[in-house]
Amino acid sequence: MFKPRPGQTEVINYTGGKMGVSAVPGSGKTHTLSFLAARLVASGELAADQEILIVTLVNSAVDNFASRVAQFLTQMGLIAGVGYRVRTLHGLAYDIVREHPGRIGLDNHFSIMDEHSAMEILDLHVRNWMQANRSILENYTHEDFRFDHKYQEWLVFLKTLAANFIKQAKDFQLTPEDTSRLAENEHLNFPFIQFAHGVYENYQQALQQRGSVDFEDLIRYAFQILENDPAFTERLRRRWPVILEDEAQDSSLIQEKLLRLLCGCDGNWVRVGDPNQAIFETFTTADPELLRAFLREADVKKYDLKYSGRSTQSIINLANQLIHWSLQEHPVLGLRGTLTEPCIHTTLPGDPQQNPADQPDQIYLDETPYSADKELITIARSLKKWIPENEDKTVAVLVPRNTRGAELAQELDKQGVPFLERLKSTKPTRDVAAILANVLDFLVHPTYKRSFSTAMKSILNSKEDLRVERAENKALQKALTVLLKNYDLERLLEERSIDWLEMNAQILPETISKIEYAQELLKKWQFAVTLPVDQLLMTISMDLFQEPADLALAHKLAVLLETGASINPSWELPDFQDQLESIAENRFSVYGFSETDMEFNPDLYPGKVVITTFHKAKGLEWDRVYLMSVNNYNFPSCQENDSFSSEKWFIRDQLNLEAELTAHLKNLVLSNLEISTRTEGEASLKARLDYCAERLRLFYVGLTRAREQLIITWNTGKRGDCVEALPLNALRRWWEDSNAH
Amino acid sequence: MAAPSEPVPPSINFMDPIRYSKEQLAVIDHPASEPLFIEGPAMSGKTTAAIARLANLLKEQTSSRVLILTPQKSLAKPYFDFLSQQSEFKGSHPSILTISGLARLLVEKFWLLFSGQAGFGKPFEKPHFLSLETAQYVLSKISEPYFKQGYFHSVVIERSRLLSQILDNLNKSALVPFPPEEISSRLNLAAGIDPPIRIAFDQAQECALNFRKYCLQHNLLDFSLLIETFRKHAWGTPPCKDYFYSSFQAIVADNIEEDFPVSHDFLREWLHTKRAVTLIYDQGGGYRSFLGADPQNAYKLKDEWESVITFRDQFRQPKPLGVLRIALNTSIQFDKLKSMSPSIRQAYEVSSYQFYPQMISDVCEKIFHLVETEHTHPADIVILAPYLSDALKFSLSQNLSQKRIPHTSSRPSRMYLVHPVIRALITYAKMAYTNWPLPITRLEARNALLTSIPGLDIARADLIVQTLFSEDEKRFRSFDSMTNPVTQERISFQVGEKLENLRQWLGDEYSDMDDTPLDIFISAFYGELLSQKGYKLFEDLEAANTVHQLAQSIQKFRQFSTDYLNLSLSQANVEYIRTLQEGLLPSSFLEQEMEFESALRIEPAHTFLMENRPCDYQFWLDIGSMGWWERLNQPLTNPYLLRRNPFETRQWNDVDEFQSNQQSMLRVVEGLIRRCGKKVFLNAVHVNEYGTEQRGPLLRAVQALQKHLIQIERPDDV
Repeated sequence: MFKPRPGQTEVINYTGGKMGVSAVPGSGKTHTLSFLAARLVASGELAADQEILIVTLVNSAVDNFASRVAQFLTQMGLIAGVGYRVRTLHGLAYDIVREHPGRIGLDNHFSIMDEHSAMEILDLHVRNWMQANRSILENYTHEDFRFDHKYQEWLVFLKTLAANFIKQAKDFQLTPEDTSRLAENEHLNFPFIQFAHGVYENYQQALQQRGSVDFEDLIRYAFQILENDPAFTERLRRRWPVILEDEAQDSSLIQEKLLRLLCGCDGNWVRVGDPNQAIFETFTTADPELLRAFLREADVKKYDLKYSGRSTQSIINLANQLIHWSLQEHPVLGLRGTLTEPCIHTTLPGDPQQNPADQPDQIYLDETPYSADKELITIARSLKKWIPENEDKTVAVLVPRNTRGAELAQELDKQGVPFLERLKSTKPTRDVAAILANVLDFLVHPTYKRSFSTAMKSILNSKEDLRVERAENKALQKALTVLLKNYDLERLLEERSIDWLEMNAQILPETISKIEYAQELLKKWQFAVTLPVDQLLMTISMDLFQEPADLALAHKLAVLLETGASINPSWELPDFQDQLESIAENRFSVYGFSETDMEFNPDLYPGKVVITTFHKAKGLEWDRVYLMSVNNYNFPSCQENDSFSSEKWFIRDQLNLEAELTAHLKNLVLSNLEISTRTEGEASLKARLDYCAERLRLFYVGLTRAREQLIITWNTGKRGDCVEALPLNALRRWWEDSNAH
Repeated sequence: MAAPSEPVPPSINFMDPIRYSKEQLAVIDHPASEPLFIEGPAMSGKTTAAIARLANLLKEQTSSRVLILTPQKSLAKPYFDFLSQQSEFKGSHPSILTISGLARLLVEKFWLLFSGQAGFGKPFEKPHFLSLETAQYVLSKISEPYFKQGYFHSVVIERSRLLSQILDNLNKSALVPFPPEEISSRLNLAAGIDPPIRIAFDQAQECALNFRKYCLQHNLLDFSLLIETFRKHAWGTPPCKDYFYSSFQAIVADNIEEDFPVSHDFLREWLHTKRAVTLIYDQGGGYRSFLGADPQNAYKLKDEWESVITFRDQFRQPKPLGVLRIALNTSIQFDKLKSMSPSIRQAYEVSSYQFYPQMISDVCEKIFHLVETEHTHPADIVILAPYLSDALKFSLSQNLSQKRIPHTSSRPSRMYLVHPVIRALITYAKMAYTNWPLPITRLEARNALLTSIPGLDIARADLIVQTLFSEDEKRFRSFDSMTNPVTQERISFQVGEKLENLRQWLGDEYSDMDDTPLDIFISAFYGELLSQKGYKLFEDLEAANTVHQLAQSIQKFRQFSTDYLNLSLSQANVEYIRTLQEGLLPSSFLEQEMEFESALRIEPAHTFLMENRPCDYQFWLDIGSMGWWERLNQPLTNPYLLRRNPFETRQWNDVDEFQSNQQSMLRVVEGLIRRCGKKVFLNAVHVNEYGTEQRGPLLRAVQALQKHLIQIERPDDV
């Protein structure tokens, strides 16, 4: 069933109290934690009303955990699904708030505001502020530019600034009343405080009028409910006597506070994480220091999961060298110790997962200063050659940003290399909105033949088993053309069936049955058109989608449109269709319950290139991995020529306004408003260190995705002035030295 | 004396053919002029016996001197059925009333005797009784300035819900009763409330008191003031009491567990004035607690009744269902499950699905099997859910229609304007009332057609609107005026004829529509055309019900706004539409009458329980939903704190809340299973229709039961 390694044994034999586990990449922490959960459930010590609570970071991990625990329990002869609960922090907060919504002024049917609507609210208030405070923005605009010419950049930036301020304030549990103390402090000569506070206040009012909360509110409210009600907290402590937390290095301040409260002083809490893989810290209150501090607490039992069978010895050596370099050789003192021990150890003899045989010749750290385009071409060519020879192997290209991924996708497409995207909004996200938009378009224009065809094709493409492959596309198109030539649309929406023989067009029976399937759905939905739009959308999606992500997203879209409807009572179907279309095109990322990065198993796609960001690659592994664009722009190290994306080029003095604003918020939390009168720019410099540290960890995450083969490249950037990232340079030199011997 | 073997009249008995039980005979034989307290579980035949006794009583008494009191109209159905079959009465029909019906009768009759003393501003003018809608309307007008001042900023709910909670608090103050000045302090007894919400409690009370003051000044009686006036003033005037006592010699109060403390007080008083008061108490009940019903208080009455007859057993329910009831009861309370008869498996079936659509199609498939293969009558099947979203209802309905299974559903709390039938009627009204300043869009016109003409597909409807509808004139042109014969043919002459009828009715029947009350128009248009054979709403009983409600609501609003707000008829019509768009709730909340005895029903569990009828097969949907457990959570009200004798010395805390939710779920589960004749189908779904996973207590209880049964059946494996 499960043969534990040293370290894992201690974890699965956990009997209670607080435990902290540092786990290196590939050490099987999810597996170990799932087994521990199953063992605790099977021990029979849980009462009927008790559950093991497993908290993890993203929805994909929830599914992964749930299925593993279920598998173990089934093997133990127990029924799955009973005695444990797997949740993301948002899911957990939802469970808590759902039980006592009245306590914080909500009712059972409160809605959750999505990013799109939130941005719409922000847009309005940011524009108003910009209009009234032009001189401030002129003062902060870089001397090389005129404010008027940079209006759009400022608008986009200020919206993000406000959104992140609100998010952070909520993480710190600061209400607009609290932030007003900052805004009213006359000694603070930083106008963006008044800006951010004002937007926050208006934003909260807008939420209230809509009977909505956002995701950060959900967590804040959950914490507030528990804090206000010790009896309820006590009941939940009884219900969840053991908390198992995964990815604890990315735990935010409020997550830690919430779990600490749920656990209680003498509670049972196991936190597993890898501080070296903390990569979600920018713009959040997450901090790997929180986990390190926990590990230092006196009553916490500490274990390391340091054995990993994932990668070859060479790859492990590289990753460990990066840790050593960070500890001892990093030229910037403030960044030393960004990565810490334990180092990765290969598995011991007898371990069921032995490391792959070493292939040092399959490590290639390319020193060539490629141009941005050349890098794409080089990688695409390399893949074009490699894939046909390795069709049973898995391969991924990790890109630092979504845009870079899209560029690579284009190049691969050009070279005819099969690939799969895993970028910001995954394809299904865009598809769901687009499919619904197409169906709605037909319901708006039921007499347009083109709308009918598009809707039919959309329906078929939404179904895994009916999807029309490229080869079949022509046949389908032909069949639809023939059909529409012979029949008026109203005839296709009636009960009477179609006489295919009569058309004499030699259409394949499979195509006919597909068309009839989609046609039946349209026939059904035409009568749903009189329903309110959210119900119409849900009715359609219930028929179309099976994937939880798709369903959740479709619901989210339904809520979104419903919100639109309540704000604009005159809106009708065409308006909703417009809105859906713009979502499909603008690629809004939708997060939280409908997070689209559902469970992804790279092993299902051998012979196909997976394009993913470094961030999204976390937790995954491939036989061969390319890390691209590893230059000092994407992975800066506080060197002279490094540039920082948070220091906007159109803002004067390389100011990182976000960092400046955050520093003020933090001072407010520490009730230390006097400190806030410090000079502008200090926080910007401090933020550079944090950013460089996070990017170094991100690089480490990238390295450790590879099982057997690793290729790293870099490019000189858009303006041709970027250089090889410092850590890559250090690794490459070390690698060349050690292989020279 | 009735012979023990005599069968019960089938008309009043759903468990036909049965014979009277020992307890039933005791009830029937109990002297008609003597008070009696009957208690027992649901479906044990209490009402059946009480009706048989009523039949005896009517032989002796003048029937008009009998008062039958029930908490709501749906619970009086067996009595209505019985009386409708009696051809001869001594005197007139007995009265069947609710406490508010009685209050209204007496308040109206004796108004002049107490109106001045009760503090009404116009004691010599007639009172006006507000419906829930008009009350909400008045309250919204009164509260407007407060909202502008920033009241309720901490409460994240829609305006209409907020207003209804303020009214709800007032209603409870009248029904319990307690002074409305206590509302805030009582709500403040709840623990764990965020401080800003406590301020909102004070604000809610302030608005309530202002509303009360306004009502008194203007002779407006909302539900709360009606009850209060009746209890404190009308009943205190000797002529009123005399009138009541001379009118009613015998009183039968059924389902007192669903009635309010104030009703219980009257029952007690009537007993003490030597009336033959028969009380019927359902032991498992209390489903209206959230409205102010108080089963504990009802049960206290038992001490004062000398004769008590207790029913023990349920009639003819198969044993396995009894085993299931006890097992779930144990499991919900986290008690240890004991060994149980394996026959329990016959009583229920659990199915788990990943998604809603799978659950819906599978449930409908099973129903089809029951109806087709096992020849179950659709009326013997019910689909139950804690909440019934429109999307769910729609999907179920579509699926059942495809299988040609007659079905119907009720959904009392739905907002008016989202109802397609109502939207269609409003669109037609906008066509008829040419002077209204309200535009009609093409899609509105298209939807109206789709809702009225059967078999009309969306493409033809769109063609009609494209070619015949004029947004400027706000009407359809004549079908015959079409110049393009191809389009005419595509639309079809059959549809054209229907359209022509619609057009003519709208144009001809009421040419000068502005002087016609909107409710009259709606009723006539629906009654004379849309509900007729050949139109889509023909035999659509749910639509009939909806339209009836709408017309009543408009009528009440019209009478009120023309009499008390001095609006012209035309203004009242338009103002109604405007108010509708702001989100009104139906006044007849939980008062819907459904008489669809040949159809399968899709209902919220609570509605089904309040109809108090058995059903062979029950399909419970989404047993993971928290809705099976939790109370309706409304931030500005709390049914437990606004009841009689809340604890004065301590707070209402999470333990109380938890316990009351547990009790509520126990009551629902027990009540449902007691009303089941053959089998319960429990359906769990992993991801609910909102895309979130729910693991509510009912699911967990069922899982614990399943786990236990597996252990019993396969002890070696574990």
